[in-house]
Amino acid sequence: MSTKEVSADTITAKRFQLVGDNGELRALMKTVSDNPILEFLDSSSQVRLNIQISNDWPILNMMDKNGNVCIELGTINDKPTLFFTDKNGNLRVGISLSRSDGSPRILFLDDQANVRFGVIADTEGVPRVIGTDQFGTKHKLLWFSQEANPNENDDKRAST
Amino acid sequence: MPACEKEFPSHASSVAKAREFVRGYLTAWELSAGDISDVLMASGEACSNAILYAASEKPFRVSCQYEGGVLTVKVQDSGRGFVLQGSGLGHKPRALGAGGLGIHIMRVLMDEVSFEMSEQGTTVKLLKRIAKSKKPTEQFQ
Repeated sequence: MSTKEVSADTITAKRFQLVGDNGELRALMKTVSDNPILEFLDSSSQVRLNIQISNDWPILNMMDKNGNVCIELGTINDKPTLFFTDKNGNLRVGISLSRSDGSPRILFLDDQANVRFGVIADTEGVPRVIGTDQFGTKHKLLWFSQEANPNENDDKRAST
Repeated sequence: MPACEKEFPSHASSVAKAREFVRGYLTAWELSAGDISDVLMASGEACSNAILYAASEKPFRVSCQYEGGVLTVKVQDSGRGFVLQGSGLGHKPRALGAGGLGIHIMRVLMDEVSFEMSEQGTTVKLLKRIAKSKKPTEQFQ
């Protein structure tokens, strides 16, 4: 592959390619539907990482060796979001902040999109932990709906 | 106690107002704090989605009804809704995609969550079965 050195203050193009020593494509910058995307390829020419702006949301995707997205990080709906997806594209772990009030939530899901374990804080910051068993029954593992007894912690300290 | 219904502007600040509207209805029934909290959080998620996905400046409508031990909250907007299948961020049609965890949270907090989508808009129906129904307080009778 012949190369030519170019020097310029500004280069405008629809597509930039980065190649390896043997001319193999290793990175690509382009636009898709007017959205910018930067892709990085592994030694098997599989895209393993991309960074893009989609719907005006910044998104970073990491793929496995088969090209399946397994980690997605972005500012989705104007809130930070981290998704772990399995090889079939099912969301299995999701971490994000609420769009309306910024409260945090972490969800573990099975391959049928059922929440099996979740940690959620409501608008007042009250934490709650919920689990779903193999039969689909929801269990409220930690559910602060009543005010705590102010003397309870003092009693515990005294007994230790 | 009859169902109640109210319209809210399609603006982020309406989520908190809609929650307070729902809270007012629930408080009248003297439900447990845990049930109220569940319904409020799920309602807030539904309202947030209504504002986000409606892609319209038309107001959204919230209605509440408690009958026969079943509490139903409906959030209706005038948008086209979103695709329920898939949850990926970058490799799905984002313009219609359900990007966040809101739907999963609604489902884990409520007994049933359903979506009706039509040309007129999208209605999210949140349902919670509450075993021991109490009469509404005098204030709301």
